[in-house]
Amino acid sequence: MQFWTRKSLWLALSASWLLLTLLGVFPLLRLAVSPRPQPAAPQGWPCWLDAALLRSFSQPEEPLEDAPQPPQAPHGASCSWGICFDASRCRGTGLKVFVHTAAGPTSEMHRRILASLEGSHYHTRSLGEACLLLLLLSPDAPAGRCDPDPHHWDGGRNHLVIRLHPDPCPQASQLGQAMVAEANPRADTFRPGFDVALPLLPKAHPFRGGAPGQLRQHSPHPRAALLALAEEGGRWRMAGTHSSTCPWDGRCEQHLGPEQNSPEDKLPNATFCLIPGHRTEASRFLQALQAGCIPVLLSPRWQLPFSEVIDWTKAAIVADERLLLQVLAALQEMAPARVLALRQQTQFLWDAYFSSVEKVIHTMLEIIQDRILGASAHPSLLWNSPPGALLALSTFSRNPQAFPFYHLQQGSRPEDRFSALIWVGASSQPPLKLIEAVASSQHCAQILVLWNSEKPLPFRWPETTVPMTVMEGHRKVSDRFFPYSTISTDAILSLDAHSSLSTSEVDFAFVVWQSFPERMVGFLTWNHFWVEAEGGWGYTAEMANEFSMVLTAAAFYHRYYHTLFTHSLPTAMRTLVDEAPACVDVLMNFLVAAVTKLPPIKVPYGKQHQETAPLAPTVPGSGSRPQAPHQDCINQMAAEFGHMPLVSSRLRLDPVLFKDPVSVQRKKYRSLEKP
Amino acid sequence: MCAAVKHSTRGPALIPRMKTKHRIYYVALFSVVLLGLLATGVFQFWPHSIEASGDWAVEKRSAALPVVRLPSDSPVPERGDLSCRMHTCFDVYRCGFNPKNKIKVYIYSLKKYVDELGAPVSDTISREYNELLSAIADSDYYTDDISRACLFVPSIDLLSQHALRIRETAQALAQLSRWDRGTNHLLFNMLPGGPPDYNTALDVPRDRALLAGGGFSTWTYRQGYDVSIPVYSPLSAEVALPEKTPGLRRYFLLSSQMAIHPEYREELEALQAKHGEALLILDKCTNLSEGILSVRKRCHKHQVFDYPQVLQEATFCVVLRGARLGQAALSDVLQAGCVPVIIADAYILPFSEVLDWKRASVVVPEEKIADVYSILQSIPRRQIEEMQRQARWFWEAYFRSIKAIALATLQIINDRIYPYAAISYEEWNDPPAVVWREFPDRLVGYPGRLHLWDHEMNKWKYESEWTNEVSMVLTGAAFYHKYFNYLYTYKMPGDIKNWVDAHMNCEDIAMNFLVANVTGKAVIKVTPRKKFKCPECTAIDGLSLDQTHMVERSECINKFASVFGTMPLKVVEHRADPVLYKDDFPEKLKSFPNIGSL
Repeated sequence: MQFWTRKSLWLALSASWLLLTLLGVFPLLRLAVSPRPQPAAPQGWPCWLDAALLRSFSQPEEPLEDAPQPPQAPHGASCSWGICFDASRCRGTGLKVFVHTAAGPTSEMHRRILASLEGSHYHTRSLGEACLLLLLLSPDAPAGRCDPDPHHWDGGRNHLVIRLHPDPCPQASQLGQAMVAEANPRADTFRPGFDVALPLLPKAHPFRGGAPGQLRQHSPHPRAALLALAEEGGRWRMAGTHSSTCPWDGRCEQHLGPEQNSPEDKLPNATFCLIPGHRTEASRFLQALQAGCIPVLLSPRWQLPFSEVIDWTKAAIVADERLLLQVLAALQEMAPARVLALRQQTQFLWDAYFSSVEKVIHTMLEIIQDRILGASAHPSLLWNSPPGALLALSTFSRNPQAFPFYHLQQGSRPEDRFSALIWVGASSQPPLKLIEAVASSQHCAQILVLWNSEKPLPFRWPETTVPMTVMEGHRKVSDRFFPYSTISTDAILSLDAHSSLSTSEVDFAFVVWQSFPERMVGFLTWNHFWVEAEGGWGYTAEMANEFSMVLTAAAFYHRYYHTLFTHSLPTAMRTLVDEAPACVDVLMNFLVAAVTKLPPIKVPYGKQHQETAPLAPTVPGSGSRPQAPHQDCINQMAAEFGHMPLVSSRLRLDPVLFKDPVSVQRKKYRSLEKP
Repeated sequence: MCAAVKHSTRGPALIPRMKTKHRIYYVALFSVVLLGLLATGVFQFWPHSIEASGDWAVEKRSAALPVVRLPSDSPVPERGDLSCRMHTCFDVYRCGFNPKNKIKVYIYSLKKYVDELGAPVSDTISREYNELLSAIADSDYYTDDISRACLFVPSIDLLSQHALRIRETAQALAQLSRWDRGTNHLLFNMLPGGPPDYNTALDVPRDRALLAGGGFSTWTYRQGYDVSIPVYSPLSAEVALPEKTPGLRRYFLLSSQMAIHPEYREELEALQAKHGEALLILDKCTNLSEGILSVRKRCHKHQVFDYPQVLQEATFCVVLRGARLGQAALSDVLQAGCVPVIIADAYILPFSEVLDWKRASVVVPEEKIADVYSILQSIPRRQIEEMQRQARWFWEAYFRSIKAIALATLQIINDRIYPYAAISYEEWNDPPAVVWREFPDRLVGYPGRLHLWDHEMNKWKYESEWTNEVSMVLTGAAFYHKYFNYLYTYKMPGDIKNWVDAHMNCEDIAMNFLVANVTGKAVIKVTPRKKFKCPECTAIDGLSLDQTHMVERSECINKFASVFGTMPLKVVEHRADPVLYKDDFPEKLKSFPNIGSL
């Protein structure tokens, strides 16, 4: 008995010993193995074997953090958007801007800015309605005038102070809680996300429209200068060509004749423009941008314009001035694809945000609006790819694929359906035949009839397989381009009650539109031309070798243009159209061309030779009487836009086998060719 | 081990001669052993004692480190210059010529710093800082040659200010061999400040050194100089949360932080009272049984939730500031694919220099905390899903490990120094995918050709004339931007160029593939023309030649489609003619009257 007890006792004893040794020895071994860094490791940082034993930097049992300190009274330098701007005041009506009228001397530039502000759809004349108050500091104001208007100042809360020229007034922080929009602000006092960086505009900067980018040749020309260097006195000095092996000390500078030295506004003709970092040189930035000369900014001491939204790394290079030699070597070796992409971007940015005072001011307001919208603001892609955020309204959608311009870039395809929108004018008959023709198209999703006729609605509409909706209009032509919520497809086929189209014409035009979703695709065209004698524009509906407008009496386009027409055009222009309905075609073509910078597309139309004026430049509301195009509206529009956006085309897109000498049975769109 | 064997072998021999006295002796011995065993077990498995043992290990190791004694009057760096920018405080010459456009980073060797009395200045290095330095040492940035380095990283652990003796740490920094007023030195800190006022940047005087800090505010952050980094959450490594498909989840808004100011908690609870089930406000658990890690549990009334798993049940998650602006909870929230609602005024979001936080988060001013629900309600569902996807992707790319944080920080500094080789907005912000670029634009040519899917053979087929559709143009005479020649020569994927050379055919098809793939657009066929050669000259040896030609061209299409991995060609039904082509109009007045031959 005792023997068993003893034996089991011994067994337990030895087993315990064994366990004890095993458990005890390993940690000791671990300690013994690497008491110091691995001596042979070539790297300066040791690899611990026992790294897992190290303590974490944040201990879970760290005491709970104390209560946060009370919010500091926001002032000056510590201001940021959430703290110093009360966005809730903009909640109901959206951004509404009131401009304090400045007393005292005003410059021409001052007047242009005021006019741009008043032209914006964010502008309001009622102080009570506004959630942003604007104060324009004049460059030629006496020093004492810098003190902001004490009336509604409220410590500067919800104020934006615009300063056209650097440093006429004290530091931004002394303007209380007001935001500051300043030309080329100092980088070290700029408050990102709160202040707005403006470009420094030359005195003669145009109010509207503005000159297009100057780049004619996008890929670098072997003989053009590689570099232009901003010099004092507003000149550019050319240095180095692509072909030569010039050293970089400037010994082979080219003095390109006398004209190189003279005019101040001479734009640099080079691939890269070196701009020193002092704020005095910042004015050269816009010149380079317009010229398509890639700005190479050497340690800029100023904030790049609209840097909050514009991704400048796509159009400019910000480099360290102390590494000049290395920068130059890198520029020389830059891949052609990158150079091309950078140059294209300079032209886009110039044209979208900088070429006129109006664009600069509207961009500034759009940035504020984006801050208020917060999460539903323009995504970066919309700001940084054509046509830019001023023309891609974030109220339409935040999703780039919803806009007509990004379909191909995003690798998506516009949907396979369209909505027909039929405008029935004052004395028109119900378009029964037209409805039948359109409804039999395989792509037709719905038919909407905008009834503006004085006649009563017909008792019976044709039987169609697609849903049909009749909407009573307000007899205003601008209603035709209202973004009706009933429109369910991307594509709209805009029609007049008088229009007469065959199903295959509709089908073919729609298939063409799918390849060019950002343009208007139409059947009948007008062409514009310059009338030297009158010093103005004219246009004609006659058959010609060129065209620049398609009639909206029968045209495909993207529904986004309805949103743009209604929400971005100045009210003045829409009123003009309501008064002179013939202008509506011109205006729509202007709008689309200003966005795309491309001509519309013409597709074949079979009946144009049989009937006298089938689709006709008839005016909605004026009956079937053919009317000569209203000559004056094109000049009014050109003045309102500030430039002539229309682009001419000499193309017509036909079906691939159109009028080829081959059996009609092989052709898909054979009815287009019927004599 | 030897001792143990000895005992157990000698043991049995003693047993037969055992007496009572001996028995007592053995029982005593046995209980001693048993006690030892118990103690070791406790030592091994008790959560607290593992750290004790770790400490011991580290202590032992640090004993072997070279010791640097800091006299109390040794120099202290200046407090830090708020006006520092890269071009004023950073010595870029050290980065010199570098063909790879990569900065070189040197890490000082580990030393033990003690004050005059011999007391250590700080704890030894933390696990995360060790990981961080290892990540740098394993990266392309690392150099062990101090004279060639452009950036210096001390091996003094500053991640948590809590563990530091401020003045002595500063003295330790100042005596680094290349300190030079902190020029080109990079310091990492995630938990700055200390009670009662919790500064938003590291309090250690550091002169001109760059600070990669978690929890910067607008007034301590030197834009373009400092780097704002996340506060690493150790849960990233401990808990695997599988990616969840985006969409609306059980709770619309969730608050999971434990240390929230009572005033803010009240406001959140008021919101919950108003909106009910859609909101869930969690707090720390008060009645957990012993042994459960309190950091991994959250409670609402008597309901217990697992943290961070509960975050995956919410669409939006509040990240409120505590005493510090930077919160590790942000990392957990992103990992769960929950859209962070950041309520921390003046906080500089992590890596905000390059990351577009608008796409992954909602920032709400502290003042507006009561409106947070209505603000979030106004966000469309589609956008919420995008934000959830983006949030998760940010975590995977920049938050998930110390290594990711370290490398992103170095990349940001690298991009400042070599801007022409910098990473673009899309590369930082978009999950890797093909980025389309806009180039001029389409191929324009005369005879058009078509590719068709042969359903019987299950492959692509080349089709020549008289079709109603076009997807290619022959490049025997075609207009296109010369950029595409460059692409053809340098960027043609796979072995297509060799294939073309070997077959002496299909270079035009390859060009059509290339352009369509880059632009995503269809070709434009102009005029009715079907062939280049004059119609009379073609009928020489007729059909057979024609047929082998077609077979070969079909083969090309199949080969190229497999190399591109897709069929980039786009089919259209139109061609371009002059405006008045075949119109009833005087030929003399037409711009291009001679068009029409086939």
